[in-house]
Amino acid sequence: MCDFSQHAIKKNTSHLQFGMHTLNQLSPHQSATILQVKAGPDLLRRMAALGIRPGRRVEVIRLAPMGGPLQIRIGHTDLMIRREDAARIDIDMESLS
Amino acid sequence: MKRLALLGMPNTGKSTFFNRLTGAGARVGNWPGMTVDLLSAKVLLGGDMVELIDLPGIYNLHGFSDDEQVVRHFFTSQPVNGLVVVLDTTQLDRQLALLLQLKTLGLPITLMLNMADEARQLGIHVDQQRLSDELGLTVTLISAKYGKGFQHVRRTLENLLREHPHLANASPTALNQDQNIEAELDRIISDSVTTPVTVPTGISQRIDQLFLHPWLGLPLFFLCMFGLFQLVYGIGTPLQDGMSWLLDHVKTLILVPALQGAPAPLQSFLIDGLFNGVGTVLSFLPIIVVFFMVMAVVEDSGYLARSAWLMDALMAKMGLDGRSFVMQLMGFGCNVPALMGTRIMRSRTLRLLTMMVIPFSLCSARLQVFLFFSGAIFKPVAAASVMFGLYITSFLMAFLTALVWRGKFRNHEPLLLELPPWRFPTPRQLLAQAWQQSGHFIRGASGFIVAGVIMVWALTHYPFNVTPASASTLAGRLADWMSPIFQPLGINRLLSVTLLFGFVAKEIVIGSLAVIYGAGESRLAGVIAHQLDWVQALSFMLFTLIYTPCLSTVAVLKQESKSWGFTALAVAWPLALAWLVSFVFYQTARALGW
Repeated sequence: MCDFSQHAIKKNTSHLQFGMHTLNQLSPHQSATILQVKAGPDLLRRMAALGIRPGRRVEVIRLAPMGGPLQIRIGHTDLMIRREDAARIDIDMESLS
Repeated sequence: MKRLALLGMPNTGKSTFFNRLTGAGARVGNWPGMTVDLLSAKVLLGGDMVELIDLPGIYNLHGFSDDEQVVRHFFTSQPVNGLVVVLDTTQLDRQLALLLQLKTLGLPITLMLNMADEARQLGIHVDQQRLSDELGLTVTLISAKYGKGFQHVRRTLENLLREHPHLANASPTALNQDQNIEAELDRIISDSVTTPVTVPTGISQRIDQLFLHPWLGLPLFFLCMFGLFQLVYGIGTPLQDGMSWLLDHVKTLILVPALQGAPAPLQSFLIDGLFNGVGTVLSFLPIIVVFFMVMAVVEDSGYLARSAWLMDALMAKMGLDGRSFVMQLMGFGCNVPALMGTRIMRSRTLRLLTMMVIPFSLCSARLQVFLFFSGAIFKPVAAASVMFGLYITSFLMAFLTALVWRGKFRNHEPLLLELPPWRFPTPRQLLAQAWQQSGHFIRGASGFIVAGVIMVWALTHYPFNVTPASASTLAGRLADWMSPIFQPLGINRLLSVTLLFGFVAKEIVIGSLAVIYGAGESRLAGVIAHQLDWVQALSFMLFTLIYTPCLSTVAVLKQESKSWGFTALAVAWPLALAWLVSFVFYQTARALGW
């Protein structure tokens, strides 16, 4: 279910400049600004401590094979984050580069 | 005694700083109510002995990870003179948040900015004076790895202790509340830290391109693991053999002649009980030293965190992660260091689940038993298939165990790991690791191991006037009593006594069989082949593979989990599984008329 809807959004990225976009939809070498993080207080705190918070710029470096986690870079920190957790991070498509 | 607590985020070189400052005197302390070990050491600072405690690395004072709870528990129960906070200069833009949180504790703080050299290379400039003024505390730039700035460190710590000579408790309210410190963080950073806009593509990224390559990454990982395994056990096993050789000579050349006049039961107790127990402990030391030196390279280099990234797609289904897999593989050499190695996993539940799985790895001691049995019973071609089948069974049992128990040991921590830049540890860091871990093993597990060996000695040697391990000893009577349990597995009374020896160490199984069957080791193969058919032999091998690997494993399970309940489970589950697998195999084979 979930996979289908994400696929649909990704396919339409070029036409849509609005709507919700999440970190897991970025391809390697794309970067964007974080809009908001939708997570429980624990995860939110952990993410903030690692630099994942609104206003910060995040770049997807590469994806692990077989649906594994993403390697992302925020400032000087490289992180691994599972795709389902990356889906909780909304990004600003305007800022995509 | 005066006391300083060392704090910082993971991967900041906090432990390197600790080792650098304290030398080799660090030891794992016992702290009430703690589920993890805290390293502490006494250092002479300004004429006073000061206790320095290395608290686990945390991202956040208010987080709910196991380590974060440990740190909070520490602050609610232990007063300190001050905090030494170590942060990574290259990541100050986010790490300073932790310092701002710690300031709310109301304790004296001094800040160490580590990896100052690395930051300079990246073009990051810190205005030390400005930062110090903004934060209202002293700031020292250091490189813990290369020992730069340590004369300032000692002076700073001495000043702090002089100004705050009394132990103080953390402000209790600070541990509950969370404050919005992000605005303050951004202000301080923009005032005192200059960072280049783009990160230069460093050597680290280039190494990543190779080791995290979409389709080369995994084969390279397996290749590296194979190489590491060969390295650890290629060096460790001969050293272990050397240690047994040495112990044998001490026994035959010194101990036996020295005890000639003593009564026979005392001789037997000292040589076969006590000395063998001490010998068992010592025989693990070489492999622990080599293992932890090699693992220090794997961990500090950053490859271990990357193994989690590479293997996550496969391991997550079993409730484990890539680091579990590395330790499970290392268990195929020896389970003991692999179990100790799980300490790199900071989530307790993930660690416990990994510790349930590791004992199923077919270690080199069990390999000896299987090589002997399959050689004695099967023709060479069939023997090879049997060995292969045992390895497959070993993996199957591990995966089955993970699947069955992952619900109980559910990992609540999100897999949000830092992939630190590739770094290589100095020889000094390797030695510190080897020294600490072997000391930890000796202090933590040796008592248990020696006591266990003596217990099995008593079972197999009492009463003293009969042949050891024969039917009239305690062990023999125990075997009679247990025969309804082992009969359905095709394991006879003599073999079940061997299983009792095998509980101590699989290395002594063949030797004890020779004693029990009254045959020399050279004739043993013939006797075994004559007495057992292949179904019985295979059933015995399956049981030996799956049940408790050895007493030292049990001791380390207890030492690392700090829980008797978990240790009991980690012994009972494989025993039950071993019985079930052997039962199904033996009864099926017999039902098929084999």
